[in-house]
Amino acid sequence: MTLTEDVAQDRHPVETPEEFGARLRRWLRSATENLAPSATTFADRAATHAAMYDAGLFGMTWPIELGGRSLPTTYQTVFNREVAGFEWAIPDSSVTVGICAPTMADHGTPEQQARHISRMLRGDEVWTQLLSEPGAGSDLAAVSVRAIRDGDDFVLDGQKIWTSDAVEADYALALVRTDPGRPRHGGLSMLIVPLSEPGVDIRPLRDMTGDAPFNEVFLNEARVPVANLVGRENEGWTVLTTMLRHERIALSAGTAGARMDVDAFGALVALARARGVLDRTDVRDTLAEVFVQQRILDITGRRMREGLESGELQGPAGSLGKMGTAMAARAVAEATLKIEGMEGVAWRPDDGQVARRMREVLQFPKPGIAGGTTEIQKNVVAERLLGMPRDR
Amino acid sequence: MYIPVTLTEEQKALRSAVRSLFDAHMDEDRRRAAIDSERGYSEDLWQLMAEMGLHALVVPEEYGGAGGDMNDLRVVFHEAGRVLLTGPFFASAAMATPLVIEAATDEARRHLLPALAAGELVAAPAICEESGSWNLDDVRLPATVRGGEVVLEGTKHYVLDALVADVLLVVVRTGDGLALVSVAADDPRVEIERLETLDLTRRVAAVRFHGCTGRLLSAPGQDVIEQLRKALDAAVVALAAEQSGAMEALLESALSYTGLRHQFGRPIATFQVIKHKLADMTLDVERSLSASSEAARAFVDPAQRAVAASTAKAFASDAFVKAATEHIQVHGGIGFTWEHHAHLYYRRAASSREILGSPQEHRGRIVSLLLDDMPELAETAGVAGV
Ligand SMILES: Cc1cc2nc3c(=O)[nH]c(=O)nc-3n(C[C@H](O)[C@H](O)[C@H](O)COP(=O)(O)OP(=O)(O)OC[C@H]3O[C@@H](n4cnc5c(N)ncnc54)[C@H](O)[C@@H]3O)c2cc1C
Repeated sequence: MTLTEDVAQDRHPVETPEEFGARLRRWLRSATENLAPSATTFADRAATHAAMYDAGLFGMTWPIELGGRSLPTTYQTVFNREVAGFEWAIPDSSVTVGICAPTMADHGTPEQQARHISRMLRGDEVWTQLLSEPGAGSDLAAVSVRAIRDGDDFVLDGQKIWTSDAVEADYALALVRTDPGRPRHGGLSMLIVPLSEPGVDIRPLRDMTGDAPFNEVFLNEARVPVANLVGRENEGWTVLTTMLRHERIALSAGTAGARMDVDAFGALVALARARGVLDRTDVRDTLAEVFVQQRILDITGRRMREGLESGELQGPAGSLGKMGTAMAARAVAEATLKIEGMEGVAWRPDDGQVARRMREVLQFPKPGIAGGTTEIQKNVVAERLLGMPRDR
Repeated sequence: MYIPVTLTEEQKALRSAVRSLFDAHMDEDRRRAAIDSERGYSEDLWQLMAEMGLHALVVPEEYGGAGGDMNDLRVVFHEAGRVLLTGPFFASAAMATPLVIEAATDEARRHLLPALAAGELVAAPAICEESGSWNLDDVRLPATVRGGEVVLEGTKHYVLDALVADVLLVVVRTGDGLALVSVAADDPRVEIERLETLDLTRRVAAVRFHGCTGRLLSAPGQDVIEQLRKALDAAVVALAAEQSGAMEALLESALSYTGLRHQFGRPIATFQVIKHKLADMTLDVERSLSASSEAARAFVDPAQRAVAASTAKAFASDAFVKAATEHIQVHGGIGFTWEHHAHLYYRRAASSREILGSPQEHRGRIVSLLLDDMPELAETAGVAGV
């Protein structure tokens, strides 16, 4: 299908990126009019997401036949800019839309794609990844969850850990060992696991902020149809490699739904003003450093999206973006602490705002660990992008 | 680099032509020869650059230029940065030429730009004074205007390439505000003193004016501070491009050396600590490229120009110093020698960090601009964020 035929099939109005941006802005304002940031629930966010998709304002760069609008990446750039400040109203769909959906688009069967992808874009299905295990974090080739063939099913046994949003999620892409006889990377497969299945036991884990966004997932004779294989049996490593590339690019380049241009600077300025320290030279210097890092990251993200579109982007380049994202997260957290000063050390129990902000500060390690640690990203950049020799 | 920067076909051609030219004429030996030479650069190379139209890039066509945009300039200065090009190209094409384009009258442009564009005239911008401040508000040098003539008495400091210039473009303070004046460099009442420099590839002088007469380039009675600010932003884009180009060259140099040098029976590139230093450098090269290309793109947008330029200068300045430091470190002892090019890059990095304003100064400017121009930014964010 050519792009023009595609666009002709788009059921939404033909609009320039500017018109799209203006429509999105109006839409976001009216959709969030009666919502308060502090009282928004998971269900509210999911409803906003679905309505946004139905209005043609989400997942625009996906091909029409998979549920998108086949629009060029400029529209995503506009989207990322316009939704800054509305992060609280829209669910973070980076795992479902930025990681799992592109992996399914690359390796899924036509049936799997038709069944799931448009529902993923609309937020009707939430997905997560079952990769890490207690004994296999950075070293995913050490995955040991077993999947034994039994007729038309695989039977899964073992434990996964750090699984984000497993409680809310409907499906997971799971890396499992289908052939223990083959060495490390050789015997792994990628499977779609419905999380409501009997034998899937999810136990929340608390992170350092006190929330419980990730989980342990115990698999006890959980049955999954062979038809749920993504890619071929024992070729799960290939699927994983593209998945990790999508993950790193999505988390840093802001592809569909993945990362929005967060207005950390604006929020910090407002905080500094409220604390009466906006005129302090060191505070201004810190504010500017946050702005500079964030701004450059947004531009680097745009370059990556354009490179993806033109096919010029080398896969491992996403690791660079992920390194930058982790650094920026630290800078924002540090800046918040500096501006808060003693107010961030102790506050009245009824001051929910400081409490929320401190919880946000304590999120800083996440981008440097989840999706592969910063050290692993540096290994990838050195060995895959720069071609430096391995030492193993 | 590893993340593509969108360029037109013409810009790609320009980049490869300039790279070949500089690779052939600004290799290590020629750079050393230029440093030790009387004028500090090769006039033959200057001439070849003129034939390629490099001095004319951003000069409008009506004044004999190529009418290119800031991204053309960025592409060329990126290449100039890779090889630490010596000579007055930066001072003349990236500082003086934009000063004339932005702040001079049509008549003055007609007088100067065709010769600048052809590379026949070398101009040096005199902006800083004893304080070393690049903030135009700090310009004090008084000038008495009599018709088109101006009488100058006082000193300018940190004037790049004044010793090889034909003409000095002096920013002066008059009763009406700031004005741009040209003074012939060979005027007997102009005294030019060569200073010693940290950066061996860039010449700097102090210039004393002993009641000499200059020619008023900006319109009589007009304060051109905003036009001068825009011109300096053009220079900032070129400098940030130089910085990204130099960093790219450092990354390549570090990559090649660490692959060749063996210790403990293997290339030092196999050591993870070395890999991680180079990965960090790669990220900084890409981020500097993002910043400088965005500054070039935003140059024509009055609402974004200044913030984008300062963002690029603030980031690339610090990143270049860091890269030059690590580049020495991964070379070990040889990186500390006089003969190795590592210190030339370090010297360039440390000196470029200050020229046209330090990172701290640019960060201060960014915050002031954002707060002044977008008060509603802070307020809307306040609703959601605080
Ligand atoms: C918030 C959050 C959400 C997550 N969500 C999910 C999820 O949904 N699904 C999922 O499968 N996983 C998830 N993870 C797990 C995450 O992918 C792993 O934590 C991560 O890959 C690191 O593995 P590890 O925790 O076992 O640490 P380890 O691998 O034990 O690493 C410990 C330290 O050793 C370093 N290290 C390890 N190997 C090397 C090496 N070769 N070179 C240099 N240094 C090295 C690491 O950088 C780190 O500093 C999540 C993690 C977090 C924090």
